[in-house]
Amino acid sequence: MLMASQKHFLLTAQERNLKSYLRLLFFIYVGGVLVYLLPAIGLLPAFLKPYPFLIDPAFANNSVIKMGLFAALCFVAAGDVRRFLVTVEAIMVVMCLAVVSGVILILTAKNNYVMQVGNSTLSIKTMLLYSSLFDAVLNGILIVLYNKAQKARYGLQFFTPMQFRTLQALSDVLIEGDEELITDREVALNVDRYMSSFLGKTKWVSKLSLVGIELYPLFFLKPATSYMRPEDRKAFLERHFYQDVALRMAPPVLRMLVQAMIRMGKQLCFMGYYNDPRVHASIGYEPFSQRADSKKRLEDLPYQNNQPLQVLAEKDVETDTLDWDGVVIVGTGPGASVMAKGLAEQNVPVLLIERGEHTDPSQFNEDEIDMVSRLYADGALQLAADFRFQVIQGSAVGGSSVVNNAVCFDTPDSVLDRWNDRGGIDAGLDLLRYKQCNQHVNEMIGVSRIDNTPNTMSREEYLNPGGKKFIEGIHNLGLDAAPNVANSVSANIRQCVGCGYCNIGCRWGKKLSMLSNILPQAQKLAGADKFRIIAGCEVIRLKARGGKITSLIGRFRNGRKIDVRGKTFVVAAGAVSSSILLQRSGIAAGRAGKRLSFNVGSPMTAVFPKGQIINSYKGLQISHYLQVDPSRGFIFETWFNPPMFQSTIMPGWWEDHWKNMHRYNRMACTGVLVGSDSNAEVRIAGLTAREVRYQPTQKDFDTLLDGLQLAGEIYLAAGAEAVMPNTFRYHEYATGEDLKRMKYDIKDNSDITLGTGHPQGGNILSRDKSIGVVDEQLKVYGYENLFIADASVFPTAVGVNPQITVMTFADYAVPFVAENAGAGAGGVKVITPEREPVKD
Amino acid sequence: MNDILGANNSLLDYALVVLLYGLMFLLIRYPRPHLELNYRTNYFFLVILWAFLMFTGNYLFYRLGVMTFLPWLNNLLHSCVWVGLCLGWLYYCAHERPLWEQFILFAFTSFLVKMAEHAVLGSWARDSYLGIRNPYAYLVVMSIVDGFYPIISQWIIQALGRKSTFGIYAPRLA
Ligand SMILES: Cc1cc2nc3c(=O)[nH]c(=O)nc-3n(C[C@H](O)[C@H](O)[C@H](O)COP(=O)(O)OP(=O)(O)OC[C@H]3O[C@@H](n4cnc5c(N)ncnc54)[C@H](O)[C@@H]3O)c2cc1C
Ligand code: SF4
Repeated sequence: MLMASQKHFLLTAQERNLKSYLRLLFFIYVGGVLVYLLPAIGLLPAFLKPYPFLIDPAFANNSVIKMGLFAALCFVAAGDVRRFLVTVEAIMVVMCLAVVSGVILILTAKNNYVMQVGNSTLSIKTMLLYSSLFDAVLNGILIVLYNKAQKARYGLQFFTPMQFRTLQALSDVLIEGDEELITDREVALNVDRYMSSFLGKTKWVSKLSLVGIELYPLFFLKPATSYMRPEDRKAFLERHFYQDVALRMAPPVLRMLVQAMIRMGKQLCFMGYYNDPRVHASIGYEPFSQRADSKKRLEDLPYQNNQPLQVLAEKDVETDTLDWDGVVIVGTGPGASVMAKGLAEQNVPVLLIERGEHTDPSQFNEDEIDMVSRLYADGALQLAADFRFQVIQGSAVGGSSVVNNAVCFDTPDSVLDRWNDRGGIDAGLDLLRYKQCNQHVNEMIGVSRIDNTPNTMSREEYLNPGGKKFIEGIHNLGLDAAPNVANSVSANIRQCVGCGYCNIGCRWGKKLSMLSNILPQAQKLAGADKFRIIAGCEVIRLKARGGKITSLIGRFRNGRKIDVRGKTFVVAAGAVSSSILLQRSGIAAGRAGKRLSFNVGSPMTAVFPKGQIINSYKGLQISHYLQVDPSRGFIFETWFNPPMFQSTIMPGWWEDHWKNMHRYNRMACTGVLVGSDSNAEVRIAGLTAREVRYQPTQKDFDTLLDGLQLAGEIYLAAGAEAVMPNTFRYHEYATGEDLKRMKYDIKDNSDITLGTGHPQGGNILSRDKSIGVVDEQLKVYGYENLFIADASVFPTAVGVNPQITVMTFADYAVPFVAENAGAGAGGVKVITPEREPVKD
Repeated sequence: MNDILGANNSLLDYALVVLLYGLMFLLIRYPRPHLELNYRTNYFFLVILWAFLMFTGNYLFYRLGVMTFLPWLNNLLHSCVWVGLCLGWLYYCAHERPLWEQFILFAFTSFLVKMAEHAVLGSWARDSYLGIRNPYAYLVVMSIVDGFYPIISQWIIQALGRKSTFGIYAPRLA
């Protein structure tokens, strides 16, 4: 039996292969050296005699040096492939150079003299071609074996050995504290596990960032990042990745790239470190499963709404062509689900096709990395084209409702008026019906104020303690008087036990999401035969003949495609994805993807004095909000996350980040949300073929800063010792006076992290066909059987949490879709009474 | 011009070769005239891959002395139309058959086409090959090499299909 420590030193089979190959190379090169030296001692074998270059002294000398050196390096490396790994790398780099220089010379050398070889001739270029090919083949095999050996040694599944080493080196300097509880290698391995666990279009960005970080020092004639000594590495990162960006010392494009690289590198390291359960106790975090009162809470609050849902996977879909005699819906988020339920109630057969997988709530767990990779689109790494704006969306059966905070706001009247303004967007909504639908949706999904309902969050202990601090500050500043509204949120949540995992899926069946509530209800009503869900299948194209959609093409993860024909089609893939789907299908060209908007958000984190343990992670993730006078344009929502998520938005670098994470249980956090202008766009472009272009307008940016400042003041009034926005350059503000400086510290969006979970628009509703993608029935212009029912139809940003509005739109469109599919009562055709003819 | 068309060849000769490819294509397509939804990406991927590999490989192997020179137009048509489009479709029709059968099928059809090119364009000519002093030795060996098309293609498709790289679908591994 081998001891564990001995096993650690044993070479893997792949490393042994590498070792054998290095030995072989050693013999090849030593053989080469001998071939050149033999003539000197008069021992040239007969078969080599026709090759005159072997006795050309200059040629022979150069070759002996090259081969001798390679032989020596191979000898050393084969001795211990772990210890002398760098020697293998040196061989690979030099061989690559040899091949590149060979190719350059073949293409450019003027002096292509000819040598006599036996009875024929050989030009020097041809000989170079042979030798470059030879080197390329030898090196190719070496690179493959080296990669396999390194991957096997660490069990890498996603990163290449070089990227892995860079990650380790980054973690070494970025996670900087007195006592690190897991090694840099373990951090990097955690990240590798995460990145390999989901399919995403933007994953390559993380690889590219690490390669960039590794090689960037070469431009300054310094060794690659992972080869630097830790002190030098930190100094380099500080100088070129931090100061150059923070102090705007690098040219704009370079600054953007460098900032994107280090942001990505930083996020990955923090994810790898703070998601590890061995670290949790050190930052004062207790997972729900280990909290003393968890059992009691679960007993006290027994309500559990998770209902069974039948979902088809790839293997269950037997044929490649499906004929569906009803409505085919793309997506299973709130828009799709409410639409599907409405249709099921009218006896219309519904088939939903979902890109994400189906995870039963019983499988939800406390491992953030696991959950994020299963439930989020692109593992929550979707970035705008300038890498400065993160757009997170759910991707699973149930859509974003599985990971959202379930906060509910009705569509504000002011927004509805703006949408219906005939001089503006001219949405042409029948407001009376819209409001009925809004009311209907609230009832359907079970919205209630979380502290105002018997048996739910009525007990103090289940409210988020951080949220209460926020309310305290609001009260101290007198901000709780009209026209402001400060309160606990309304949500489609019942008998919450306050585990704090809303953003990674509610295991306890308290969140009345589409997954555990609406979809199962609808399936039960219609029967599993008339209400089918196919998961893990991305719709890649809608096929049309004339103005009619005939079928759609879906693709499973293993590449298999299916062709689904139906009567009526509803696209509800969410903002961004729906626009991309229309663009891919050549529908609404020039309009789809335009006028995208967001509720742009940025967090303000507050730290309370030593001794004041708050434990904001214990409780509903968003528990309170403050809506100030609408003219100020922002809304606040308290927000706190389990450690991994929180570490990625935690302000600070190096020891500041460490210090902050170790004050995790004394912190509270609030998100400031601003309904942006519709100046963003999504299009099929860039390396991900999914490019979100967004730059906040000055007005939106100023509004956001205004909100952040007020959020800071509120926390300071609640007794916080400091507040910090999530800026690139670290800033802590301890007094109201200090806070006034913030506007000067944050000059534009490159100085602060902005993001959103609320993308909206892109396929907007308008009666003006030059800008609208859908009409008042949410039917796509120019198509008789295609509808859209998701956040992409919002004419502008709604400014509050959007899920109720999404569902209201879907509910509003149900009769139109049902009628189109040949069912339903029809007749719901009265739109705005003063409606004018649709503009051409 | 000799390099492009080959000695004594005219565009008419090439038209004849293309006609032959067309007829072969009709024959090849006979059992499966339509590309299935799930094979489309694989087909176009293999067409592009093989056309590129053949075109560059034919030239490089000529430079290495392993092959004779194929006039550029001959190389282009042979690589793109014959190997790319026609053998690609043949693989589509045959890929579920046992590998040895596919090997023979590919080697044989390839031999027929090479013979035709040899007759019309004078290419694929070499007096002896691999020590065999027979003008057909080169033709036969090159046709046998083409017999490896399905084996290599299967390996590529399965390797890429594992993660559906480039949208490749490999059902048996799914
Ligand atoms: C972390 C987070 C917290 C949030 N919190 C709140 C909150 O508290 N309150 C609130 O009101 N809103 C919240 N939201 C926003 C809210 O969840 C969304 O606005 C809402 O879910 C949008 O619904 P939708 O139907 O438009 O799209 P989504 O919910 O995004 O659903 C779209 C679905 O379509 C699938 N899909 C995409 N493309 C394809 C394709 N090509 N083929 C097949 N399927 C596809 C996706 O995988 C996804 O499952 C939050 C969002 C996030 C991410
Ligand atoms: S905190 Fe969120 S995840 Fe936890 S029980 Fe309440 S609703 Fe569910």
